[in-house]
Amino acid sequence: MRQWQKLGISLTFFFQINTGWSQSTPIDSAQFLAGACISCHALDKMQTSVIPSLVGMPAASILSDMLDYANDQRDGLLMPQIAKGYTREQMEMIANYFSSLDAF
Amino acid sequence: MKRRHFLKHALFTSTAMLGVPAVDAKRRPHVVVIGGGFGGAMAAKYLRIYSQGQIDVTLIEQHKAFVSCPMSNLVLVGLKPLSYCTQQYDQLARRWGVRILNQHAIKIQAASSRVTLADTSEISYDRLIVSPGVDLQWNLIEGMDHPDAHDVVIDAWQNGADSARLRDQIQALRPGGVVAICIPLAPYRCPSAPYERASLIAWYLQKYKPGATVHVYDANQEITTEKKLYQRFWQQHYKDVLFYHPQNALMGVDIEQKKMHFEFEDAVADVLNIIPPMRAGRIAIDAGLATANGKWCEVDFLNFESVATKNIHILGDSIQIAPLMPKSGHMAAQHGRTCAYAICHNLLNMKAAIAPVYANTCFSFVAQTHAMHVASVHHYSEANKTMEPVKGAGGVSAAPSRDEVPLAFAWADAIWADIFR
Repeated sequence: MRQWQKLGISLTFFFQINTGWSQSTPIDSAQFLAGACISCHALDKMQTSVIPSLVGMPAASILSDMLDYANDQRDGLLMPQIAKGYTREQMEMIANYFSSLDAF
Repeated sequence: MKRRHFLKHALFTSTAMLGVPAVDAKRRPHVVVIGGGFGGAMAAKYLRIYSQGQIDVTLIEQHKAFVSCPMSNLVLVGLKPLSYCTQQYDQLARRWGVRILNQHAIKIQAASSRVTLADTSEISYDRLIVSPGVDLQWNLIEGMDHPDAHDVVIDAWQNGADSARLRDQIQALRPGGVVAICIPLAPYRCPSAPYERASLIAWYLQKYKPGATVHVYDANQEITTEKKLYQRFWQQHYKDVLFYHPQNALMGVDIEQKKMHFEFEDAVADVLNIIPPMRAGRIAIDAGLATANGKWCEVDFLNFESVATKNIHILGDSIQIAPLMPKSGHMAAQHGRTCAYAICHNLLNMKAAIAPVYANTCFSFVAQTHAMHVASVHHYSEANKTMEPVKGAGGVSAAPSRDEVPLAFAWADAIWADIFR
């Protein structure tokens, strides 16, 4: 019985090490920071929404929009209030993250 | 995106899971999540994403489908069907590799890192996430032990199917009838929702039930959020329909006479929508996690770990909130994502600074055609070891408007997609 258990465990382990994940893959801190945006700005560009998806947008355009909202250079119902909560550095991370994504 | 790639490789190893203790130090870590709401389902999905499949996740949820409380006030007045608020768990399983257990978790055994399910089976964990929502304290309202109490009184505060039952009561209201809404002392789940509900019911009564009225009995001193916006809209539109009674805590209810007892007066109504006092979800209370007044669970806001018990994390409405942090679905989802990120760092030994920043937006409808919001951005304060609202950010609508109606629907679509698809 113990033999079979051991075999079961080693088989499990065999599959695990072949899933192709390296233990050292870092989690992208920009992905984490940008996660808050996705609650409103959906990742799926195919879904039509009055709140635009940011996926694949040029980083410069996301950043300038965020800065304009934060500095009251651009009107909006929500974003002037939200953008003021982020530093320029955080805005840059978010902008670069979304621009790096491919539409799916 | 990396995640399509990761799914091709997502393999679920079940041998190390159910009831089998840790037998191999090199097996993949296993996180168990109790509760598939905004917090728990979000944590389950993002554990799979952030860990790129390196962490096995089991989500224990007693309901077959998720029914959102946000947007459900629209169901009460017939503006949306219950199906609109309903999401399925199948994508979490198929697309993201979360194992869904359609079961009721009844006990946490922290000493042996196991959870007992209603069918007496046990499941072991390396980390446990507890996201059970709120426990409604009916025992604090005299008379609610009447056998028919929950046929007469419907809270519609945590169970989606109840929204349809309360809708049916409102639709059956006699001409000139009265709807009562009783609001408990803060903190309670979703600060704005009782006032949104009152507004929408007033809108409905005005349109379909001439002469009928809605009375709001609030245990709080005043409207707890967006006070001026509600007051102004009610004054302009619902002056003869909606009556607001502050500082009226419900003490008891006579189910047979449909009579409510407040401290200084009694009142009768045809529809009794009583929202009772609430505390952390029962399983969290029973596990000794409610360290704040025995009601709410204190957590470390960098990883949502309980201050009382190691390796147990608590999310959403059950926690002792940080300053100005609402008990909202949106906020619970941010807790879930942050907790998933921190657990990945911890279990997979990934070293990186965790500096959470997240936004919360609560939309409220005040009529079919008008909505408004309260928004805030929160970041972690190293000095005070808690999440704090970012000064200068956030705020409320200038006024309820038509323009915010499509935004509210877009928010709901996006956050449900973020959690469930």
